[in-house]
Amino acid sequence: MTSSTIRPVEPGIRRARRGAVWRSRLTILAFLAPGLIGLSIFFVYPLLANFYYSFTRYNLVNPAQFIGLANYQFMFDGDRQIGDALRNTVVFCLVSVPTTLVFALGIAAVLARIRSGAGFYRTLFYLPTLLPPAATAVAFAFILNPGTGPVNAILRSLGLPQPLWFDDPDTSQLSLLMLMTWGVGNTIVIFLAAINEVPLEQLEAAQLDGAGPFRRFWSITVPSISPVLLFATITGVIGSLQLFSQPYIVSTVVGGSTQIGYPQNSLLFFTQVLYQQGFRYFNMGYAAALSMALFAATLIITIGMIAATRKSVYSEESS
Amino acid sequence: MTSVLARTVSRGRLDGSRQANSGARRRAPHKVLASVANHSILIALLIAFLAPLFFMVMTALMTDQQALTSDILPHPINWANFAEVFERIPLVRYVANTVLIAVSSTVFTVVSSVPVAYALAAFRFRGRRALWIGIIAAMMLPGQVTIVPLYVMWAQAGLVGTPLPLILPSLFGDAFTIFLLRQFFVSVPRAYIDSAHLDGAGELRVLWSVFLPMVRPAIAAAALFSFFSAWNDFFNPLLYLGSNQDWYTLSLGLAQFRTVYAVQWNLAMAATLLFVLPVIVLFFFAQKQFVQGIALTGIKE
Repeated sequence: MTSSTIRPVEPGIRRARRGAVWRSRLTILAFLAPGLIGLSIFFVYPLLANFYYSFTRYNLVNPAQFIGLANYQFMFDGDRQIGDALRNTVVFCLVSVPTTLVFALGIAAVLARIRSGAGFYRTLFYLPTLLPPAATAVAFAFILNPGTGPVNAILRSLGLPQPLWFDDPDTSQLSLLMLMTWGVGNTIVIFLAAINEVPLEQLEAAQLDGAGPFRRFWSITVPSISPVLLFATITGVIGSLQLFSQPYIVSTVVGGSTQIGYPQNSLLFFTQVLYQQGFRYFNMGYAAALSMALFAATLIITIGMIAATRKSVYSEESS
Repeated sequence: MTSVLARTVSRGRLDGSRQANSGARRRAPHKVLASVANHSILIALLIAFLAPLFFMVMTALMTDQQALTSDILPHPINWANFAEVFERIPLVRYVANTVLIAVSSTVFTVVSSVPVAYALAAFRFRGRRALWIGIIAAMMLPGQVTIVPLYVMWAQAGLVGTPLPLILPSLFGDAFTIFLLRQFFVSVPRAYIDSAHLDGAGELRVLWSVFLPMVRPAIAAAALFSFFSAWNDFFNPLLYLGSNQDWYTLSLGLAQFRTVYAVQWNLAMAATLLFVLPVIVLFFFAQKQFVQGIALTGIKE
């Protein structure tokens, strides 16, 4: 990866360019230097070091002590939090990724159909995406608070039941889902761009053949934006696996400063156990093992999804 | 992300002109109905999307007494909340800390990422593909995967509790920024660079006086994304600054605001509003930068 041997463009290559044939190796290396150094120090080294730390007991004070697979053993049959965290993370991933993708695709599809104002709508749908998670989490903790929150005030005036939202373990994940769906603007923009690239001729041909709008969307638009759908699914899954800030802030705001996972561990996610173990209890070795598990899960899911959809997704070489 | 955003805007224009020509179809009554339906759906969703912001503003203007009721509209309007937020928490310091971190890391990120992205886009060299894959991996993998050794590194350097762990890494390029810039840069026609070389300009001079002026919108977009991500970040400040209140950022200060002032939602919302306002203002200014980014990607076609 850090291979930095530089090769000038070989003369005689088809698109040999006069005057620009030979590049100074040193110049290229100098241009690349910040990236090579950064990638080595802040990505490759920590990745390798993390692997090592995961086999040690280390609390930052005493030297790291090799303990074999003990951390992994503890993960599988000692840690009483990890089961809840894993279940929450998987459930939330399985629910939130399809929900947000379908929602974004629906909005993008409608946006692609209107004649004017798409830019206006897109701007406003995009806006919440850019707001700080600390702000949106606090805002939702207020909006959904059962005592004075406007949502329950409206439900009350309509004579509808008023859930406890973030205060009830049965509805806390649903509340979090609402918060995350609010930040779906990014995906809308990406989908809208992809839909607008769908060849018009194909859609018109299908229309001439008598295909209705839903049929056209399903049979032409969806397949031709499949690479974008796949990419959005992968980033969505990775995003939900590393979800930290929103549930952490909601739990501390609603439940009190030390209540990770409030209420009743229903908002306890994998990364919060990692954070707590590593940076509150300073079990760095165990936190490293949890990181390894996250790393493995991300890798397996990503590669698995790419492999599983290889046949049905048209892919584009970007280099 | 931005390149997609950019393309959308250019497409939007194309679509506009395309549909202007087919005005004949527009008069069909079912088309009008469909258009009304589409706009109704979008407006309904938009109201739902903007409602949280609306509630936030309304509550931020309530008196303490009214905030304890379930009223939705403020009466009377209590502007004093904003002043009170400044008295209750060291908001000025939070802003100063956040601005310092966000601005310096944005400047460093852009300055260090541009040459890398340029080299990836303009030169062929052994290991280019491997480097590109490394950058994409660094961009895609969850940050928590490397957080333990990074924390150990900063702790051993004695820098936990200072903003340096949030700033120093940006001196060495940022994977997402490099990715974004490279995607923009490859769309610049080689001819410009080659002819500059023909005129005898050195690499650095080509980058500085020929290339950079052409990709200014891309750099503006990358800088904005970098700024937003530093401004909004919660996890890293929590990790490195959580132990030192003097260096609290807005995110940290806001997240613990409610815990300290138990039920005063009006103050919490006023503080939240003060936090998101600069983001919203910057976002509406940034629109222009995004649109300018397009002209550049348009060159390719």
